Amino acid sequence: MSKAVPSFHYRLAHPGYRVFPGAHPGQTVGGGQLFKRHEPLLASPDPRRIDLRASVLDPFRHYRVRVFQQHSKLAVYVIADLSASMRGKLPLLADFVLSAAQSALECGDSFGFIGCGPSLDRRWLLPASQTLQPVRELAIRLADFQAHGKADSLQRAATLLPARRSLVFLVSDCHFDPASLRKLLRPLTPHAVVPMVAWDEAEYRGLPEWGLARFKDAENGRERTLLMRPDLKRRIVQAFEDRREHLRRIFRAFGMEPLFFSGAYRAEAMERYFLRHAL
Amino acid sequence: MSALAFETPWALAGLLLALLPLWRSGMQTAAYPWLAMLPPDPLSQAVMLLIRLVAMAAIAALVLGLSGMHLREQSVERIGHGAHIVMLLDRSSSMDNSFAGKAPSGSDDGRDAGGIPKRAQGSTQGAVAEESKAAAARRLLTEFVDHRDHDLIGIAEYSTSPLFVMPLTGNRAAIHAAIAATATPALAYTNISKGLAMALSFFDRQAVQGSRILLLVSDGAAAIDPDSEAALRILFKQQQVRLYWLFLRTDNSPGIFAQPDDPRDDNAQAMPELYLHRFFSSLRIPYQAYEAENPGAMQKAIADIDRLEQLPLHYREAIPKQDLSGLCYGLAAVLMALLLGAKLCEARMA
Repeated sequence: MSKAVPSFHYRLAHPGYRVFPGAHPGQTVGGGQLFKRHEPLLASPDPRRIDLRASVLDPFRHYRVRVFQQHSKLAVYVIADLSASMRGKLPLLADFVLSAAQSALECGDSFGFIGCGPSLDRRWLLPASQTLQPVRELAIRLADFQAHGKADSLQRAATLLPARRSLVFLVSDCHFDPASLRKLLRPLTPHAVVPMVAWDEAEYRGLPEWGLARFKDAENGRERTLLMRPDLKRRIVQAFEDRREHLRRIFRAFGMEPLFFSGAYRAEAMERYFLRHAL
Repeated sequence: MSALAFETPWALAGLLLALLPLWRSGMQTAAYPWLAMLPPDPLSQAVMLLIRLVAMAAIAALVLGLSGMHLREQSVERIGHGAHIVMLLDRSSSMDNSFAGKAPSGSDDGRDAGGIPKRAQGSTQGAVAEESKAAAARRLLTEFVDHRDHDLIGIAEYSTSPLFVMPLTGNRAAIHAAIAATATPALAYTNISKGLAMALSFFDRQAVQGSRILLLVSDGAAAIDPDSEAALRILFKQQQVRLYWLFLRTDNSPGIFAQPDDPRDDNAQAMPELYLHRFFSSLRIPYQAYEAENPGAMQKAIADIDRLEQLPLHYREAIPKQDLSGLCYGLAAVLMALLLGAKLCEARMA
């Protein structure tokens, strides 16, 4: 637990309407630094902000008050696929959850977690809050969780999100068919979604060049034996590359840019992502 | 394949184990997130199918071996030229003498004559007189048997009483052994009527086909009492045999065809050979007597028979029980070696 988790900075170009003040440019009028517009004194009765020049120029001789755009708070959610296929990637997920929670809390946002196994389990649900301790406990549990079954409840995760636009990190290996991926993404479109596709290099590049290898599907338990040879391995790597392109196309159709992860979690990759893409 | 049989048929229940490879591979499995990502590979499927089949075959072969699979004794019907021959050999003590009526001398005591005809034949040229009648008969009969590939040959002997040696059989090794067995010292007297009765009984329950030959090899005869004579007449008629009498005449003894000089000697006790010849001639069956005074004459007589008796013949050849369990175990070992090779080809997964 003593391990320092790096945090990252994120920004949203179009944050939603939120009343609570925070760090992100909001649409609410309130105590901020960014001038938004003039209003009559009756509409916003704050004599400290009377703009004399505007009042003199007002043809109706009314007092004009400057109103400012208030920075608002954001809710950050991590929706995680907790199916059996994610088993090897859960340490990465735990690191990321901790990092994301820390980053959110640093700029005053609230952080929530929705873990989707075969069904929505109370153990893996964390409502948006501004405390880090429950997230730490969750991350510890996540790191040694033996996942099993499919992530069928991913389809229902959107119902747990707030109605206001939030930042949603969707962590999955996307090892399911495109139809259910589309069905999963459609209700998430109101939010700023960062799809994070976690793949393990051992699944394709790390396969042996030669020999008989027997694989068991983590989710449906089906088994398959392959006679590994360089040609077949090249085809498998190619299949993964094709899949990456296919996934990218699906996500982009919903206005999301996927982020592919493999190996250990790196906060720099998140920084780079948010510098490149405005959400 | 009704010839297949098993020593312990209940062990065949283990054949169910051959289904095991259908749902257990015995290979180390590595968890994989999503098999649909792996492209289809027909070669892998074929190899896996082959491994499964090999594993099933290995288990099946082991179980079949355990249950003691064997082929039952079978008989194959064959057609050849030949005859059913019963050799009736005289084992009276006079057969151990040479044609000159003496005890055989020198190294050629007849012991090696039956087993190694070639060598014995070589020695015939130099030491004709030394060979005993039994040894000469043994040698020539062995040669005779070697010529006759498709004959069924039975052997009976007689002395004081008849000796059952070998029923009619096509087994050459057994016949050779039976002929060679006459190398043991001969027995006492000559009781030809009982010997004939036994030799004729060999044809009981044998289909009448080809020709049936009774080859009597003797160096003397004995009187046949009237009761036996009547019985033999009936038997000869029933069995439809051809009779060949190879008479090994000792020097200075009366032959088959010798007519008595003195009418007082004209009786069965004084001239049993002549009376036996007359009895055989009166049977009204094909009958041929050969009088051989030396091995050469005897060889000529046997060659004569060899030439005459070549009728088509149906016969059944017995194929002995064949144990297949060794084959099964061998097959299982080969298959398991293949599987071991496949196991060694397994890739090490992290």
